[in-house]
Amino acid sequence: MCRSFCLLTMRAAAVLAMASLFGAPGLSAQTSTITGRVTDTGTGEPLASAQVFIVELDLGALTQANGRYLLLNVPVGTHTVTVQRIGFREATATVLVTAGQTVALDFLVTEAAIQLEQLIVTGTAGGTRRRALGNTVARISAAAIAVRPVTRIEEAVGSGIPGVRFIRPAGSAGGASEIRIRSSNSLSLGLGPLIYVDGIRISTDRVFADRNGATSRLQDIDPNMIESIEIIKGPAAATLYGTEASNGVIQIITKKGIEGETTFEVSLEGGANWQPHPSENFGLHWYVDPDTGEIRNHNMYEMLKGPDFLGRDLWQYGPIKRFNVNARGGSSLVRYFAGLSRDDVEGYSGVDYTESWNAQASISVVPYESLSLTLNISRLSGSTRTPGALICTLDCFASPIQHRLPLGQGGAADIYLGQLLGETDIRFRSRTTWSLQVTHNPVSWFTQRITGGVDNSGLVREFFVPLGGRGFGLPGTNRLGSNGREGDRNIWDINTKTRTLDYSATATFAVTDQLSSATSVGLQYFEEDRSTFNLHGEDFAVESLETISGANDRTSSEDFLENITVGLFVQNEFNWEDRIFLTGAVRFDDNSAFGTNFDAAVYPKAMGSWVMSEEDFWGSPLGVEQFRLRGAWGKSGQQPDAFAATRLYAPITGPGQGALTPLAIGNPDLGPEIGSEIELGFDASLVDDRVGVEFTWYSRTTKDAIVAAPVRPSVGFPGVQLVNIGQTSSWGTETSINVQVLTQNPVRWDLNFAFSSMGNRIDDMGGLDALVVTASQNGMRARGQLHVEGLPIAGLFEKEVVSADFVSGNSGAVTNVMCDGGRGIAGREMGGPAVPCDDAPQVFFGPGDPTWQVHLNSVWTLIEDWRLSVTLDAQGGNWLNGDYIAGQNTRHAEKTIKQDDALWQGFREFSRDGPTMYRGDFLKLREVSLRYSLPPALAARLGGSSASIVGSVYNIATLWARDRFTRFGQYIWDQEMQAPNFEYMGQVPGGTPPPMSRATLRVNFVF
Amino acid sequence: MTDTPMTIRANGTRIAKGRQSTSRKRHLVFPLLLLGLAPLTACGALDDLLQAELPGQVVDEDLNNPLLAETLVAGAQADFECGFQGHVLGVEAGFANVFHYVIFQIEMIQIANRQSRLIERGLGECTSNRDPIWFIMHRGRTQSADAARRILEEMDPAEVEDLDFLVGKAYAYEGYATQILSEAWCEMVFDGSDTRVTRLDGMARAEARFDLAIMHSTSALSGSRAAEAQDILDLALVGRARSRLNQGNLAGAITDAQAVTAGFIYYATYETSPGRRGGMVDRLEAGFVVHERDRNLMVGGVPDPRVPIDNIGIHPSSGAGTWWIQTKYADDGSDMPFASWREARLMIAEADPAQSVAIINELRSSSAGLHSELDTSAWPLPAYAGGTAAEIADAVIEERRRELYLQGVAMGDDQRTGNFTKWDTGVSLVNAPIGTLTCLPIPELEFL
Repeated sequence: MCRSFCLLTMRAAAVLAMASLFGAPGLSAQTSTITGRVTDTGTGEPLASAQVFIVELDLGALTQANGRYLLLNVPVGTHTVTVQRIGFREATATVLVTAGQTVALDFLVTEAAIQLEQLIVTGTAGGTRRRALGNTVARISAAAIAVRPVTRIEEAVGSGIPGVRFIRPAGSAGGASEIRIRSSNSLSLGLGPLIYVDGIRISTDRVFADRNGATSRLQDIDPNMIESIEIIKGPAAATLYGTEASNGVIQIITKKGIEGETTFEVSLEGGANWQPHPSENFGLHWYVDPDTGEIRNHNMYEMLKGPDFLGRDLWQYGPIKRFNVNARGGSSLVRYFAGLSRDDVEGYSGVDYTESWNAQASISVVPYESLSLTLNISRLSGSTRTPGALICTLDCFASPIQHRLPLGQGGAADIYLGQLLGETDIRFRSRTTWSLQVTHNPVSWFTQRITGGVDNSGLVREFFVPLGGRGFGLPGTNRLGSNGREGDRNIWDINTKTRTLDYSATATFAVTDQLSSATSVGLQYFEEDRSTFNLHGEDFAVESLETISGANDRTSSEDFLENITVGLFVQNEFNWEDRIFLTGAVRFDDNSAFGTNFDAAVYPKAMGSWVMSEEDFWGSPLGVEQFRLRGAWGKSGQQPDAFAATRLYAPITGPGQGALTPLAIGNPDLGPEIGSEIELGFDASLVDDRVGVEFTWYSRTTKDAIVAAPVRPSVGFPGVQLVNIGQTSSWGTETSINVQVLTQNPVRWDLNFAFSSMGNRIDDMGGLDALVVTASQNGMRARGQLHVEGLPIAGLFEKEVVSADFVSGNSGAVTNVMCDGGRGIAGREMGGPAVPCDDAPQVFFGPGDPTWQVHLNSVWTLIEDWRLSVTLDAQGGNWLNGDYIAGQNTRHAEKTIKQDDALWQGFREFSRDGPTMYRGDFLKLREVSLRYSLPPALAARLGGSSASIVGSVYNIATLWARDRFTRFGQYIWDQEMQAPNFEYMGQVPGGTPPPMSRATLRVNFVF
Repeated sequence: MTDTPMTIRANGTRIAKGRQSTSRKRHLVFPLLLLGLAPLTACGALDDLLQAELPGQVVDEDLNNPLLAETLVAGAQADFECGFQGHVLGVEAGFANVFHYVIFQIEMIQIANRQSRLIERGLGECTSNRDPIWFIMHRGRTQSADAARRILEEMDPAEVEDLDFLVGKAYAYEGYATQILSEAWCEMVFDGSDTRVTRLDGMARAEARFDLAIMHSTSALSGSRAAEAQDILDLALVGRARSRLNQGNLAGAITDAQAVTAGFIYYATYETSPGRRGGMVDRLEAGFVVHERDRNLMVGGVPDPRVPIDNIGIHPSSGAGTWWIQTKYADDGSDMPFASWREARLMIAEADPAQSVAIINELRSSSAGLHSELDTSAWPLPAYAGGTAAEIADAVIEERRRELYLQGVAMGDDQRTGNFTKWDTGVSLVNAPIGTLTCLPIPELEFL
């Protein structure tokens, strides 16, 4: 159908061109013009590249970037005008035209419930229509991004994609989430997906990951420059991406030029960040006065807030300022896009900020019908300053010693505030990415494409603490450990360069009248180099010294790491009457990180798709109009770190000369983890295409899972040895339902619902009972995040006191402290016999990953111009270890405070801190936005073709949380607090700032 | 694959280039692929494509180069010295209660409280105090053994300069690492073995390494580095005497101790920068306070200069009262002796009671072989008058305690004499119960 309309459009354009060329004298007297705009009802945005045509006249046109179209020389009479665009339901209107008139005819088109014709980037030349895929692929368009208060890539992806989850950013300016797709599946390797931008793999590795979370390079990707995002979720779908793809792939397509007049888009945004509930979160601290033994408390927030102290307000509404301008247009020969954006955002602390400039350009040239070239270039430059020790001022170091002196009297509060104001920790980011894609169709049955490009990301971190600026030493005691008070200057310079070369070709041919075949081959080369420099100086003689060369002790280091992957794939797709698709493929990969004894990895896949609703027998049962069954099975890998297989020695400074020390024991047999996944599902539309349903079930097994087995210390090598001895399983379901509840003016109502369930289990850990993922430093013996065979990956464990007796009376010291001795799987499940706590295991509380997620987005469109969007997010089933709780209120005082709680007192017999586990279930009002689209006439009066204003509030409120307090009554700040410096979810160390709230007002203008 | 020749620079910042091809070759790969030479990869050229660079580290097989023999031994020495400062800090000052541990840090409290259930881990680094004592001393041991093995088995002897000296030195460090581990731990395992052996077995193993060290360093006395070889010979003799003394071979201990050159002293070397080469003073003083029994020590009515202590007032970190620090080592760059003629003399005094009083007074009258940072102006010290046999035996041990203060022998001495009465009991200064262990249990990590 698409092809016929294209031909129709071309013919119509030719007619129009001829008419225009020769002036068609006399014709205008008998004809008229139809013009108007096509708008997406879901977003309120103009719709480009829609086909507007009158079938019986062979007359048609494409809409431009501003959604406008023009049909010239329409004969007088009554005509039916039709609008079509892939992914949207067809719209028609009947219009009566009279001679010499210009008739205005606008269209509102609605997204189709399921989009079988959508073209998906799959790794093969030319992509693949969704109807041919056996796996689910989520796609987000620029229009969907533009209407929401999106400031970061993860907000663009949102929670509306089932199976996609986030480790939310810490509450400081510049923080960015970590993205996870489906359930965790690895015991020791990274869990993040691969990110491609215009076919080029980019590096998004976390660098300087810390609790401030300000170092994720995902924030480099500017949502303003994105045309679409595709999310490929697991091994069954990612086979063609090979090694490293088992965590899924995110394909980001940036904006390109489109044929038509140049259009300019400008957006301005202003607003503020703030920290909700600071008094509750950062407030009350209990401590025992070391001099008198009395229990005291003070509210750190109240002590530190206000502009009077040290001249600045530490709890401000951090201003947000952003603008974006871009232009695009072109001809049939050359198309172009250029954009520039600026971000300037401050956090709530008055210290943290992030700012960046982002420029992007794309030019496409089509010299011949069979050849097209597209060059994309982007450049980012920005910086981020973290809040540094602010949160620790209020949390980590809430000790009685440090609190013994009131503010302003040289106590800890003063010292850390001094540190806060004197210490700087700034990360300067830069990124240059270019790619060139050449597509060649020499004959109708053959397409080949080559994509090459480089992503070069740089990060310079400058850290400075002036003389006397940090630590808690008293004057004149330099001998007793510096703790940084002698001054410290550190500069790190990290450059990561990735090179991608990707060639693929597809040949199609008809086997029979009903059966066609498409054979694809591909070759990929990927290389990543990372160089790291560090310059360090400490111990300044006088305060005015700030450079490394001014420090007494100076060191430097340099490191370089390289990793290379080469892959080759072959795929064949059979297509039976465009209804049944069967695809088989195999990919071969080799990687420099594989051991010398390991041969290349082989990743096969098979998938099928059957559009049953197009079969003759389909009778729309239960009102189901479109229905497609799909299934896929495939493998992909996850590689170990570069050189993990090699026995390595590190250079050290030896006694008077250079020397070497053991660094890594290596493993010559090391290979990749192999993820094998099967997914089954269906897509359906019903109720006159107003309800779309997608459902997917998947089950994944990761074999040869790499276990970081501790090296026996007496061997003399440090750390761990990676060995392929493990096996994990993960599973889940993903459901999305889109309902157009009301479809007619004056009120339209759209509901988008997404639900996902997920789980995982460690099937085999090569005989190891338990591996420590993260041990809580302060409660090391009491709790931790562990891998335990038979239980979920990186579960949360803690000793559970079940009984304790007061030595006398009903308070004070306890005796006979007994803990849950565990039972069931690995003897770690709760409910075992009571045993002395010294002999008790840390028992299993729950997984770190959520086991379910729900997303609900409701959009009301009023009189076409007003659009109100409300989003709710919920998730649960997970547990968190809130170390921050221990730091704030419990570490030093609660043993004294909670004298009448025998279980608590019992716990403190073997732990420095109190218990800190709590459940992560919550329901949040995530986002409310109101958008007003100016009437076209008003926009035109302002000189543009369209304009809109969007007001939004983000991270508004927690409507429900299963645990508001821990089981011992400690206040929980926020269920989404996560440590961004851990690969797994579940850890919230002290000093982690909770997520910020945000309100913005954005003006969009197109002219 | 063509390995790149070694790149060795004197400053040690870049020792050798690891696996792999030159960068020029690598950069050619990309344009070649751009030209569409895909068939190359399918014809076995993948190996070339996959040659990744790692110029900041060294791969195992590159170490069998005779030019690196000295570097290997230097690495062994560096790792032993790292282990030794951990031993002084963790075992001597912490576990054996030479100091009180005060600052609340989980890692050290596990050791200082002598509770077996708390001593669970075994990894650490020279710049860290996270239970450094087991692993890093084993690393020094295995590095020393590996250096000797590579030189003897993997290298052409004709191409190794000063082979006997280097091998003797490596064996000496292996011997000391083995001896010190065997003194501190309740039992021993070596090289990841499942088999546990007794500490006496460990000491016998140390003695065997000293045998080899003595053999090679004796051969090296006729070489170009005779003076250094003499130091290694003395080092090995003191070590073997110590090993024999601990095993009860008193005659053997006396024989070795008597052969040590008068005034000999041998140091673990440290530097203030970079941190990995640093000694333990900074960390010691930040967390430990000198035990009451060693404050204001007197000898014959005068302050004992062998245990120099200073009171510096309130501890800045914890505010925990008056703070006492040692001043035997001035800073992190202070070298720490671990073998000396004075120790050899004291071993004779212990093994032969007939010589005890004379040797005590010999050392009190002479400052030869003392740690170079001690104030020797107080010598000669008042003489020891002697006493009953038991008193003299106690005096020898006390003399060792003072002479060898913070030199890594306290734990071994306590084990040998079985006298733990001076070890703290009850509750520590950080209000945690002190356990009853008198030797260190092997970390559980060793048997996972």
